Amino acid sequence: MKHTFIVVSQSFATQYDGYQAGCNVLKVAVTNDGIRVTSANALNEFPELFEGRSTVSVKQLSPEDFPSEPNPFK
Amino acid sequence: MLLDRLVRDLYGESNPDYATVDIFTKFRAFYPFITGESFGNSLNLVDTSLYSISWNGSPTHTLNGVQMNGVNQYGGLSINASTDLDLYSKCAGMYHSSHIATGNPWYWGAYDGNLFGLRVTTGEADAIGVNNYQGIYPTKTIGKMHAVDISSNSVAKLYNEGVLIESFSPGSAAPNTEMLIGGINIAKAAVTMQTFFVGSSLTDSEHLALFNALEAYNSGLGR
Repeated sequence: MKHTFIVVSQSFATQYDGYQAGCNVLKVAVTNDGIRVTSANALNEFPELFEGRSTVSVKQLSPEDFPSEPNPFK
Repeated sequence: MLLDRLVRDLYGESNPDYATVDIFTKFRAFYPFITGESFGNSLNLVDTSLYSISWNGSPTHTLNGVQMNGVNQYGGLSINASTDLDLYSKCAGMYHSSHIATGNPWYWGAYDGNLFGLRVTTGEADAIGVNNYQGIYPTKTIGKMHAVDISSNSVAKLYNEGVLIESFSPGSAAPNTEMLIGGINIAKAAVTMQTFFVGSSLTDSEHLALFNALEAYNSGLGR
């Protein structure tokens, strides 16, 4: 199943990965292609970080589009 | 209104044949995920001043529950499975309307090498784990609700849809770390969560009553 992500810049990722507002914490992930993305719902949860932007780049991605993590249970 | 209905269902008013579960004495935290937005879904119904969920990675909140993307989203409960729960009386469980196909990853709970919670790892059979023990079950055994329960120093139980499926002796101490939902450690799950609860050990009849109540409640909500 694919989910909607928005593309963010490296500087945005550096500055705001882990940014907290109320009960929400922003998380940036890096795709297999090296693109930094965050959940599209970040636009709703952190509007203050996207003020002044008229457009955002959107990608539909599945967990397979991200590096597979080692099984933490083995 | 929605919470009134939940309480009526939990107290058996909608289904008088069922036993009842007093969530306010049995549970440390109870999250019904009915508000469709992050703040409301972060609140603990038992005590809104305690154990609010911290939503990491901006999961999607709808009236159907909380949808995780399986990449970098999870909820942190700020409940330590070892120090915030009774040593020999604890349970936790998750209700979700969609069954889990075998092999799809699905996790919740606390893990520090020991597990108190659920793990279904990609490519493996369905499984529920408590501490060092893990029960492996046939395809799609794990249904709409699964729970783990420790009722003494020698008895741990695994429940599926309110029914006891296995009882065993827990092998080690509970993990001394925060309970998470939608993921454990670095493992994340793409699932929709509809109710999560954590608290004291329940009896078999209370586990079944809780499942019946949550089934009635969530069905009533059309999810």
